[in-house]
Amino acid sequence: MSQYLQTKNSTRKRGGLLVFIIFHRWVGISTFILLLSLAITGIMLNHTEELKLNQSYIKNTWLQNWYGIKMPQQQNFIKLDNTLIAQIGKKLYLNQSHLLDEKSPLIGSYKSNDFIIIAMKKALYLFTLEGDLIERLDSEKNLPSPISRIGFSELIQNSNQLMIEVNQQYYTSNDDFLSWTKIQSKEFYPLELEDPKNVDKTFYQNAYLGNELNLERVILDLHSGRLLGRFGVYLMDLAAIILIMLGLSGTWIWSRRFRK
Amino acid sequence: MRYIFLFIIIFSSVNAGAKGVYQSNADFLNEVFHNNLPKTQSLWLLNNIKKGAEKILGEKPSQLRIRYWARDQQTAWILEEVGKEKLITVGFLIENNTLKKIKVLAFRESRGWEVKEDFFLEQFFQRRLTSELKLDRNIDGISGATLSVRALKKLSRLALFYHQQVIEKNTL
Repeated sequence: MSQYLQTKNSTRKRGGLLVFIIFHRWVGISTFILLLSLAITGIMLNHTEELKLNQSYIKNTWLQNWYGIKMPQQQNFIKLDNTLIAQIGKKLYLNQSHLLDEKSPLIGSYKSNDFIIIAMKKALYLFTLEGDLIERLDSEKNLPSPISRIGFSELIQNSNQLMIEVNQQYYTSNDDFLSWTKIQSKEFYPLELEDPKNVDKTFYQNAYLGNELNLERVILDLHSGRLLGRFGVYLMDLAAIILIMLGLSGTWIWSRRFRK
Repeated sequence: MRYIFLFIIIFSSVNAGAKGVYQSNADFLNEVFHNNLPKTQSLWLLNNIKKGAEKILGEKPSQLRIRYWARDQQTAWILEEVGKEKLITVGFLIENNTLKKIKVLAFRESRGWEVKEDFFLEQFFQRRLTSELKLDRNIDGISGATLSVRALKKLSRLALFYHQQVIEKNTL
């Protein structure tokens, strides 16, 4: 009788162990993808600098949309002969070269024989025709501001008589923009911005959007689960808990087998 | 607890007064020229002048035209250089290739503002430029303000170099 009970007890124990092994196996298989992602992204994040994750940018439109990255509202363009000046957000471009960052909006631009003049609301930039910065003028350099428009007093454009409009007053410079003089002008012919609809924005869209989201952020969000929002974070929490459970259950199964 | 609170108040008030604009460019120029400001002139950084500026800065100058104000053998310069991350604005008065006045006009970094203090700036008084475009005397640094000190040394050398160029061209 006691032998029967011993056999029955042992069978029950073996059956329990078997169930546990099956549970351990399936939980392991079902969370494998998550654990693999956690491990690979973890290794990558440990080597951010070597892998240059913070310098690699995501060009994928779907991911950019997922992160809500879109073109900024501030998009101003000016065409000067063969030169296109573009302001996308705070980034200022001369043709396809990124010149500098300037928050205040682009007001107007003019190309003389010597300079390219770019007027922003609170600053005026002088560039060589090759795009090298000559000088940035602002209120500390006696530039009247905020500039609302730039233009000329006559229809025939004369670079020496470029005027800036500030609070409905007109100023001009006769010494290559070192100083400004207020002038009375009955006529004012402003230089207009280009209608954005007439500009091919493909390059600027790629240049702007392609520099907003770096690989480090995506890997970090993949690691923490934030890529899938709050649900993703809980999912990765669950994966981490399961990883702990697998460790414990694996050890338990191993110890039971070892005892035999 | 009381002492900790007192320390926090003293520390925050000292720090609050540390960065900012100490004097406007216009006020500095009026001070050095006794409210009789000469007209603004400009020095173009081309050819050898650009090379000299590059040697001092260790990189290409950020702009090609520098403003200055001159009377008799004196020139005044307002120059800017990045300390660690932000620009430090410094005013200089130079006479006969010698630094007569140096003043930090604006300091935007969170650390290293001690360079605006007289005890540090006094070291630059009467300094000249050697043929190797270095200052003729060693400038003692300030612990915790290494990058700001470096920026001020560079700007002093630049101002003296630009002054030399203006004198050589007899544009005074």
